[in-house]
Amino acid sequence: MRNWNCKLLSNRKIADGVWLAAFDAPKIAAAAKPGQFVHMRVPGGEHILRRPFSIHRVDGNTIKVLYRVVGAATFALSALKAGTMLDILGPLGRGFPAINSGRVILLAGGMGVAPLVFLAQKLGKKRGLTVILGAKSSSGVLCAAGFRETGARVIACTEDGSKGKQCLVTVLLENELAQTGGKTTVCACGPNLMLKRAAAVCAQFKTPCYVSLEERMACGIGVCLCCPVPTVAGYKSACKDGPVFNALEVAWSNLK
Amino acid sequence: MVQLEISIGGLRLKNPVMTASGTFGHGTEFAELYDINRLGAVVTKTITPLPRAGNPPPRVAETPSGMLNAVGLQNGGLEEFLKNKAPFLRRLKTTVVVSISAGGPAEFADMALAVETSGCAAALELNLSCPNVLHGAVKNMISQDCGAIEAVVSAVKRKCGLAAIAKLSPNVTDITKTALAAQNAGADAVCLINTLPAMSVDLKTRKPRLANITGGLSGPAIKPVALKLVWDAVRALEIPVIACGGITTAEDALEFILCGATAVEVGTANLTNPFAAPEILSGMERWLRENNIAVLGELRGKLIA
Repeated sequence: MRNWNCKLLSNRKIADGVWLAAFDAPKIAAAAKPGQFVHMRVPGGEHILRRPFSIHRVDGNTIKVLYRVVGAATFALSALKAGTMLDILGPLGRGFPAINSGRVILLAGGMGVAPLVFLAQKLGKKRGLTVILGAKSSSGVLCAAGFRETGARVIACTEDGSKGKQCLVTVLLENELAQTGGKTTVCACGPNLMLKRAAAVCAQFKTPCYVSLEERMACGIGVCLCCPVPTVAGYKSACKDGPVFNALEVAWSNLK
Repeated sequence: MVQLEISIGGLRLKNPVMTASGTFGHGTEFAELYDINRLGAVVTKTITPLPRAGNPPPRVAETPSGMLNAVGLQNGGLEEFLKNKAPFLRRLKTTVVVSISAGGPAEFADMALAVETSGCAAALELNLSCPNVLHGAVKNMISQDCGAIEAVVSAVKRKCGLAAIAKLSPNVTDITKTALAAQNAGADAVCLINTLPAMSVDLKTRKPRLANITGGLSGPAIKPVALKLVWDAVRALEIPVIACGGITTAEDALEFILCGATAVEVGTANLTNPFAAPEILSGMERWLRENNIAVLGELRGKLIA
């Protein structure tokens, strides 16, 4: 890990409030593992802290970041033009473990697709890969095409029924696990409540489950202790010990 | 070659760039990025006698040109420090300052002795001013109470031979009174300022942005406050003043030296740019060279005012 001056190659809106930025970042692209993140200085404005973003895709020397415009810094990022140089620290954190055997299910709620497309890219066609996408409504179901490109089977659901079945992703997860025997690993990212339910479903089926958690962050390298995640062994840092945790390790009752 | 060496309470530092406690861990993460032995001193994350879990999240919020934190002194306690952190610190080839906090004078003194005995530190920083940790019946910071400052500093100095730096809060009526209390009790230097007690509110959710409701403000936003307090303290004290508060660039650091600071601590800048401390050091050297100043001391306290 270290910081790199990276050129913004493209930056475009792909859905309501959701943007995709591509950077020429050969060193990060070469070292990145799915689930890791980059920590970016976004020029402009009164903010001083970096912003962490999951590595969304790696294509050759290019890394991509999927982000929702939620505040001043992401708004400033969305206004940057191709050619802008950015100070990016990465890759950071502990990503998803290597999964060498059995079937894999990826579970994404809304923006939770962000780290999972890269994971699907890495797992590739050889693994029987199922992706369960969920959102409040159809406009929030993201990246279905990107997942299909990797050879994955994609199923979607929405809370309002505007796309796929009207249910929560964890209902589809439960159906999948109930239907299939054999070894399965679940990797999930999304709102904490969704992850908590996913962890409970996986525990019930004795299925290994890895979750990518989000917490407000400052340094990104484990020194400031600003991003605690409650675990069965006390607080750990999302930036250094995570952002991916084994679901069995997380103290779910303490996670807000 | 510019002469940057400074001395604090009989301790010689090769240059005045130190790290601010809580923004540098115990140095291991930064040692992977650059040679931290280049720095004048490494000041470690505050340790307490027993482990502390710290505050629940969110622990950090951003404010204009600033950062608000309520980590709550999360640390593994003295025993864990001696076992897991001290060996790394003992191998460093620069000055190590271990930051300690405790419930009262006797506990502070015991901690100081234990750190001294471990041989991993050349000096102690007494954290008397963490806004997330309050003490006593009136729930204030030790550094808001001159009597408490004197009691802690003198207890530490009686029991332990290490240089002691008192880290003080800006949140007092008169900084010279608290700084003098530290000096009179035998402190070898004071460091100011710690974070400013502050809060941030989310109007949309009608909730505070920190789970702890209040926290400590740091970053460039507080630099003008720090400059003023350093300026006040320098003129009242005989012992060195170590400046801390929003130092992000070499120019920031030199402004504090101009106001009379002996050394500087780089804090929040370590979090926004992990290379901030060595960049500030080389920037200071460059500026002094370009301005034909051969010895840093020539600039110290030379504010034209």
